[in-house]
Amino acid sequence: MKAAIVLSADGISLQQQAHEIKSMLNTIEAGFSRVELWLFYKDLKPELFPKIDSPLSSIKLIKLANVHSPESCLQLLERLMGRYPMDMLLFASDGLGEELATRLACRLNGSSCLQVEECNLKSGKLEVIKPVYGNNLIARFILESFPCCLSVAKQPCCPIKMIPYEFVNIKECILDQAQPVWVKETRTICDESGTGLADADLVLVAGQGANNKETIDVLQGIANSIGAELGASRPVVMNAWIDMNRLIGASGLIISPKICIAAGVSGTGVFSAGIKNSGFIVAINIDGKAPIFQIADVGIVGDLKTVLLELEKVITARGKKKGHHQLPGSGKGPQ
Amino acid sequence: MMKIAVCFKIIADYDRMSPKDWAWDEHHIVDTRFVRRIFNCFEESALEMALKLSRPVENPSDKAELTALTIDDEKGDLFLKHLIAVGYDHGVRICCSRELDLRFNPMGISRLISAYIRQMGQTLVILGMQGGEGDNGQTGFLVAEQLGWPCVREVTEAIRTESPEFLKVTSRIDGASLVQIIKLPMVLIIGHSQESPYLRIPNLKQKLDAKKKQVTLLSEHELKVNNKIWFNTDKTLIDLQRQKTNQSCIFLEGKTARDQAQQLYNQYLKKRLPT
Repeated sequence: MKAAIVLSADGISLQQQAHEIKSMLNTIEAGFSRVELWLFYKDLKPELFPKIDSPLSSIKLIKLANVHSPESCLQLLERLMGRYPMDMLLFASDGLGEELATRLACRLNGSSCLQVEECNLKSGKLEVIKPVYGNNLIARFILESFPCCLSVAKQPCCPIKMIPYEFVNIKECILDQAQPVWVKETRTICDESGTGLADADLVLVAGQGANNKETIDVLQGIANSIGAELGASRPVVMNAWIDMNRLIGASGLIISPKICIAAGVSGTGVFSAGIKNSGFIVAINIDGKAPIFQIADVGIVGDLKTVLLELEKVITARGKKKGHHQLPGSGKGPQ
Repeated sequence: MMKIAVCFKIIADYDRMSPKDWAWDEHHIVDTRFVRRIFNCFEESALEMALKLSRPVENPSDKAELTALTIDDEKGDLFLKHLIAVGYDHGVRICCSRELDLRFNPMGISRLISAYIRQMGQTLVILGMQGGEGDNGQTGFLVAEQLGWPCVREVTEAIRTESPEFLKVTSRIDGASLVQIIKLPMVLIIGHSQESPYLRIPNLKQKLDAKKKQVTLLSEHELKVNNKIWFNTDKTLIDLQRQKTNQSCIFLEGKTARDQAQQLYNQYLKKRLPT
């Protein structure tokens, strides 16, 4: 089986996306006769590449005139597949990866599936596993036709190392590209600096049980005081009580802190996907039957603000005794 | 006049289901009939965004024609009436043959939607980015492919421009927001939108007026999507499993919040926090 990993060198998440694809490749028992890396770039030709465990047969660098045009990427991929046919294309977990996987498979009469957690070759067909029913169930599918275009599932933050590939054939593909005629004007507004949530050791996550912006502000104060990062579930973000970049869950951040305190979170499947990789989960909720307790190690049935204010007192008192109370960030570096 | 179709799905409120409710039959059908039904959250945003887009505050007379479209059984009518009450001009329900299982078939769904869009000459299609039983996340992209239209994913806001042919669309990309002026027709796929998080609520008069209006029913035959091959799917479901849960959550039973916090720290957090 021949496979190509498709990534964008200009994305800020390249190393994380490569880690996610690497994790999925590790689930495949069937051997590949060929694995290529197809890397889009805009200005600077990349010299370092993500360290994938599978030996790479070739790296193809594809210069992209317009990084914001999925249509341009699709046309280039169609042409590359004409020249270098592959059985499987692996795309990143982000929106672009999902769009390219779906639309390319449609154009090539292949199969596609998004948020794939595992895949394997069985009797000549590809079997994939992905979450369904709002992350409450896991489904196993057989993909009916090749090429299979898969976008992988998000994983906790673990950016992989970038290395030079000295003994791999690196080929530059410069192909003509039509500019999209329907876009009159484009501008990007970069986000302010990151939140530190992705690699924090201690995370406090606020849910709808917080009830209002004032409580969220109190929780932010507690988080600062105990050395935690504050995250939130979707209702909190949608009410604009906190910034969008602090959204935890399947469609937000997937975190894996040593300790996660989920306060006032009901625990939907979509949310739980965001914290289930935590080392230790504490749930605080006034409803003892809330689903969050199904994934928690320790639970407290009670008012989140009262409990957290008491916890703050305990942790800061311990800090004062020892001369510090801030948890040092673990700063998970590249593997 | 701009013609907007918003495609939405009504889903079971999975939060109301207990672990034992997650059971399925030999066809992998999970029985959710007893659970209340709600708008898919991304499509709730899409529906509200379209309402704002269709009635611009700066020029209220420049209305767009607004259609709410769903593929569902008769239970969908209640939600379509709700949408008519809040300002939708048309409520349309595509009612497919019962033997068609579209849960994991976004291609089949996109064929039905695009057939309707073509038939009615719509110029803007808006959908949510993910939802429903299959969590496929592919329908919007496939509608764009079927129609041959551009599409923008993870849209957070869409507003009119001075030119009726263009929209100003804000969307999320890797670490940034992308603002584009784009020519109609197009497909917009709505992500997390803080600008339009929830659908407005109708007043009593609006509800009574909506009761008098009819929901339009269409079958796959009326849309001329009646060739079985068009519903062939690229993947076959072979197995379902429950997500792993931790059945051994330890509840802390202190008399006061102070006791509970102390217990939590001493027994569980102290050893896990770096010294």
